[in-house]
Parts: sequence; structure tokens; C-alpha cells
Amino acid sequence: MVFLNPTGFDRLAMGFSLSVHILLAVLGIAIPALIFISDYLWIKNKDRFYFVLSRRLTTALIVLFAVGTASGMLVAINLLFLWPKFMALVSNVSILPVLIEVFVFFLEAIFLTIYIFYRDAFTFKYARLIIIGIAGAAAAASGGLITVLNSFMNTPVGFNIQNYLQTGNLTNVNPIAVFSSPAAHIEVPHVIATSYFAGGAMIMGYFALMFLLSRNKKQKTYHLKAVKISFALTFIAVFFAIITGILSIESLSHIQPEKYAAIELNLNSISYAPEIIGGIYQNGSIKDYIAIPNLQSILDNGTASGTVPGLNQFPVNTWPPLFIHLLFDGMVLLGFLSGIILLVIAYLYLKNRSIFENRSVIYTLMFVGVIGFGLLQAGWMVDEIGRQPWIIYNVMTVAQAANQSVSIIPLAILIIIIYATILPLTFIALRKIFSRRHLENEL
Amino acid sequence: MDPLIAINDTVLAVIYALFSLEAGEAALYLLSYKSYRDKFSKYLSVSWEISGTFVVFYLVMLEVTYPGLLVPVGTLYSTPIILAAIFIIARNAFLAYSEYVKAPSEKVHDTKIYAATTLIAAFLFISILDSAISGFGVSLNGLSLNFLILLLNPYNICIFFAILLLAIAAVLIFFNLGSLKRTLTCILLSAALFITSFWTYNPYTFNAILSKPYYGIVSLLIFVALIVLYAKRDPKAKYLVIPWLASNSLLFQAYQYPYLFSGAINVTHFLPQQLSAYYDLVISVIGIVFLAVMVAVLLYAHRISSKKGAKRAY
Repeated sequence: MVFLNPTGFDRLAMGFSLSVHILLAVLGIAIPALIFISDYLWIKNKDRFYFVLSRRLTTALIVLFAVGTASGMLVAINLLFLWPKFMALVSNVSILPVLIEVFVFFLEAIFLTIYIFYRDAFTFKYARLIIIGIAGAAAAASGGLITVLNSFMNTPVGFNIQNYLQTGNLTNVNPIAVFSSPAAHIEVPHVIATSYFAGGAMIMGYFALMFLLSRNKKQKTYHLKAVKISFALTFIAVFFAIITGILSIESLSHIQPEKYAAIELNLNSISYAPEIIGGIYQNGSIKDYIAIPNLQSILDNGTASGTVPGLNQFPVNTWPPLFIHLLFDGMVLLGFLSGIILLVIAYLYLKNRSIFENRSVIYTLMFVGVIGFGLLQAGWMVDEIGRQPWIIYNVMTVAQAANQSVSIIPLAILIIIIYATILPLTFIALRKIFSRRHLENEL
Repeated sequence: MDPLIAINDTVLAVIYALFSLEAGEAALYLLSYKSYRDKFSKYLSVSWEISGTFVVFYLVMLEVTYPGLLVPVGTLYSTPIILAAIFIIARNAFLAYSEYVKAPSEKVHDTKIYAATTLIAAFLFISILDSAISGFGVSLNGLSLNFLILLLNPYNICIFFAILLLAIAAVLIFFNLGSLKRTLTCILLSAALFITSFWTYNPYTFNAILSKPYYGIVSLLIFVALIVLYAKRDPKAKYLVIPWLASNSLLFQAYQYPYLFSGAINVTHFLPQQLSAYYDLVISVIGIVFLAVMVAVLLYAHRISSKKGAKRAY
């Protein structure tokens, strides 16, 4: 069984860490944007509801930021102890994004502290917008910088790879090359866009639920305003997420052809390639799928005669797990569905300003909130599992990088337990905070 | 000294100073919560997140400065470091919970749990550092760790209590509490524990102190100025506490340089390649200047807020 060895436990612990931490990270990116919008609307309209929304979002951000910082520290420690050989290479070749990220994170922490404790000390009316704007931009930049490191894992640059593979020595090291790795200029915009989409969608879904549960007019008005501004953020972000997603898959066929072939479940390198929807690989062929003729070649090359890579071009032991095709199909389907839903609702809003009070619309927004969470998890899984068996593509496998000591197994189990409990406890804590703060009193 | 190592050591010194204060506060919370309940919370509310971020800063600086050490460190110290990180998560959670969730009358238990987890995390970190310096609990040949010896060797226990006593003294000075006699007693006991520990268990450091006593001049001058101001109950004394604690750490690191594990390893052999080291240094220096500016902005905001009596945003 794949997990009953140290490498398997390393994978499991890392996967758990990432699935929890990424949730905290995207909420930490989306919430400052919503606070910014709330504060702006409060300053502009003197609407007390937005003032209260800003305060309550700030409270949520404080708790999530506290837990997220600790979780991020544990992820950094996991990288060092679960994958020490990987970190030894990264530290020599591509550590600069991580080093810069530390200072960007300080910027976020300090400006968040200024916003929480000292924002009213400034006489300039828009000071609070500048402060939370800086904290929010720093949060997004942090995510971008970590993604630059991930792009190095997908398209390694900055050292003589051939010499490293032959001798194990690092030569011709160029530590700034990581910023121009082929995957970076595609991955970074996509990650930032999807962070705002997923974070905005989850918060929108939460406020939609709270609107349904509202007991009086004040609560309804408050939650409706919160739904609208989180809808606005989600609506803008989803289109950037879709566009950057399409650009990502286009570049993937050139920079990581095995991952592309696995995602598309392409066995052979062909032109006039169909787009395969669904399908399972069994005994050397694909079964139970729908094929849309020529579409894959058109999407990848702009023409039906364009050639796409196939799995059979590569050794079987370099194929990633092929279930990522179904994961990818689900992700694309739900991503486009979200975009269409949000577009329709935006159109209906232009026709009828009270559309958000419609129960069907509210249920739909809750559904989009759940989709946001699902897309977030599916996205990082497709990226990371799709790169297997490599931790650094064509340079170092996961097994080569892993801490193979048996003593890591109880630690990995402990890490999994920590991450499994940290999230529910955080949300229970948030629930307790807000149950003691009556909205009517704040309004 | 290599400039990257100097930056790395400075970051460690700042962490030592910030967490010493926090460990001292945690110890006093556990000893007498009611006496200190209202004294530390304002400072902790502002500082705890930034202190935690410095831990991440140091972790990254370690990776930047000693890439060659990552595999052995990753193999040897995984258990204590992951455990320490878990207690830091608990520290964050209970501090946030006691600060933002509980009514003032209900804060006692969460604050005490925060204090206990802070002290345990501090003990684990000090144990790791002591082990890296002295070699206790570690077999470099087999790259193995004896966790019990790491924690419970007499050198580690003495150093931990020496640091804790110094931390308590620092807190008393920082918050202008206690008496000069009590504070000086803590400092003298701490100094006695340090010297006894080095003499008995860490002869490398003890001999370095004896051969280069002049290294301690800066730390001594800051200490004298600090005590004079504290004796007069001058509030300016608190501005010297963190520099004093940081200078103690830098002094100790200077005595240790460049060896770890009782002289078995020379850290300068594990530095990054030249071009990597150059860019690492440039980014670190720019980042530290940037950080200093951000902290200045924070202090400015604190100053104008104190004058205006402005409210919190949540």
C-alpha cells in the first residue's frame, strides 16, 4: 500500500498541511479586499452597516491571520523536515522568493496591526483605506511569491540541470532566474485570481446562509449588503481565474507535457485531438468517455491540425496518477458553471435591484460558495499530483527528496491530527466570538 | 565573520530578546496572574504576531545561510522542532482566544494555557539551540537524536532557568515593576547559573569568555545604563531592555563562532555558493532596512494613537 512507508506518510502529511493552509491563506487574501470595500462604502455613504461589516470582518481576519501564521510556519517546517534534500537544493538555487516573502509578510503583519489598533489615530479620511490596502496587497504578494517557488518546482531553472543529474553538484547557479521560470508568469496571476475567487465565493456563501437565517430586518439588510460586496469581488475574480486558467493549460503542453497528457487523458501524441470528457484508463485504453472532435488541438494550438502530447511518449513510471483527469474535468466544469451563474445573476441585478433577496438566488450563491471551496482544493491537487512522481520536474523525484527515516511517521501522524483539528477549532472560535456580539447592538 | 552569518545571528538575537520578554511575562502570569493581568496585555496584543513572524524569518534565514546543513538538521531535529511549532500554534490560538473571544472575567484559563504553551515552546527551542552548541543528545556519526537527553541534560536545564531568570528581570524593568533588589537578585542568579553551566558542561564557551572578555563591553555598558535608569524608575529604561537582551545573545553567539556541537562542526563550511550568497545578502539588507522603516511607522502610529486615545477597529 502506497502510504505504508515514510515517503507515503511524508506525502500525506504535506497534503493535509497544504489543504488546510491554502484555505486560511485565500481567506487572508480575500477578507482585506472586502474590508477595503466596506470601509470605502462607509466613508462614501456614511452607511453604518458597512462600518459594522468592516469591524466584524476585521475580527474574523485577526483570528484567521493568527492561525494562518502558525499554520504557515508549520508548512515551512514541514518542507524542511519532510523534504530535506529538496530544501537543500532550493536553498542554494531558488530561495529568493521565500526570503522576499518574509519581508512582505512582515509588511502585512505590521500594517494589519496598525489597522487594528491605530487606524483612527490618523486624521486623513482615507488613511484606513491605505493601511488595509497595503496589508491586503501584501497578502496577495505573499501568495504570489510562494507560487514563484512552486513554478520553479514545475519548470526548474537557475542551475546546470544536466550536470546536477550526472554529478549531484550544483553549477552555473543563478538565483534570480527563478523569477523568470516559464511557469511563473502563468501560475502567479492564476493563483492570485483564484485566491480572490475562492475566498470571495466562500465568504459570499457564508453571508448568503446568514441572510437566510436572519431574524429581523436589520440582520437581513446587513447580510444582504455583505452578500453584494462579496458577490462583486467573486464576480470580477472568476473571469480572471477562467482566462488565466485557459492560458495555464495552453502553456502546460509545452512546459510539462506529461502533466498535460494526464490531465487531458491523452494516450498518444496526435493532431486533430478530441477533448475527452470523463473516461477511465484501463488495460492500456480509455473507457467510458465523451469525445468532442478536434477541440483539444484547437484549444492547445489554435488549429485542429496542431499536435498535442500523449502519455505513451513517456515512460510509465513518470506518469502522474491519471485520476487527475477527472479532477481537472470537474474543476473546469464547475469553474465555467460558476462564471455563467455569476454572469446571469449580475445581468438579473441590472434588471432588478432586489434580485439578491430572491431565495433561489441566495441558494445559488451558497452553492457557488461550496464550489469555490471545491475548486480551491481541486486546483492545488491537480498541480501537485499532476507533477508526480517529481518534486522538481525532471530533476528530483518525491522519493529522492523525502525524509526516509521511520521516525518521521509518528510526526507525520501528529501533523495530520493538528491540521485536522486546527480548522474546526478556528471556526468554532469564530462562531463563539460572533454569537456573543449581537449585531443589533453594534448597529 | 561572514555577513550572512552576522545577519542570521542578529535575527536570532532579536527573536531571543522578543521571546525572552514573552517568556518572562508567561512565567509571571503563571506565578501570579492577578498581579500582572492588566500589565502585559496591551504590549502582548501588539507584539505577539510580530514576534511569531520573526520565527518564520529565522527559519528562512537558516535555510538561506546554511543550505549545506539542512539535510543533517532536518534528520536530527525534526521531532523537537515540530513539537515546538505545535506549541507555538497553541500559543497563538490561546492568546487570540483570550484576547478576542473571552470576556475579561473569563480570560484566566486561556491566558494561563497561553503562558504554559509559551514556556514549553521556549524550553524546546532552547533545548535545540543548547544541543546544537554543546552536542548533548546528538550523535553526529549516526545522525541520531536522544530526545530525553536533549531535554533533560543538566546543561540544558541550567541554561533554561538562567534565561528564564534573566527574562523575568527584563520584564520587571520593561514594565517598571518590582524592586531593584529583586531584579538584581534575578540577574545575579542568572549570571551564576550561566557561568556554572559553561564551566561545567561547555568548556569551549567558558574558555572563549576567559580569553576574550572585552567582547562583553557593549553588553555591559547597556546593562549599566539600564540599571541606572531603572533604579531611578525612569521610563526610558524600557527602551534599553530589548537591545540589552539582543546584545547578550549576540555576545554568546560571538563566543561560539564559528563552531557548533562543541567544536565538531565549523558553520562556515556550509554557506551557499558565492552568487547565491551575494543575492541573499542584498535582499536581506534591503529587507531589514524596509523592516526597520515599517517598525518606525508602527511606533509612530502608536505614538499618535496614544496622544489621541483612539479606539480599536474590531
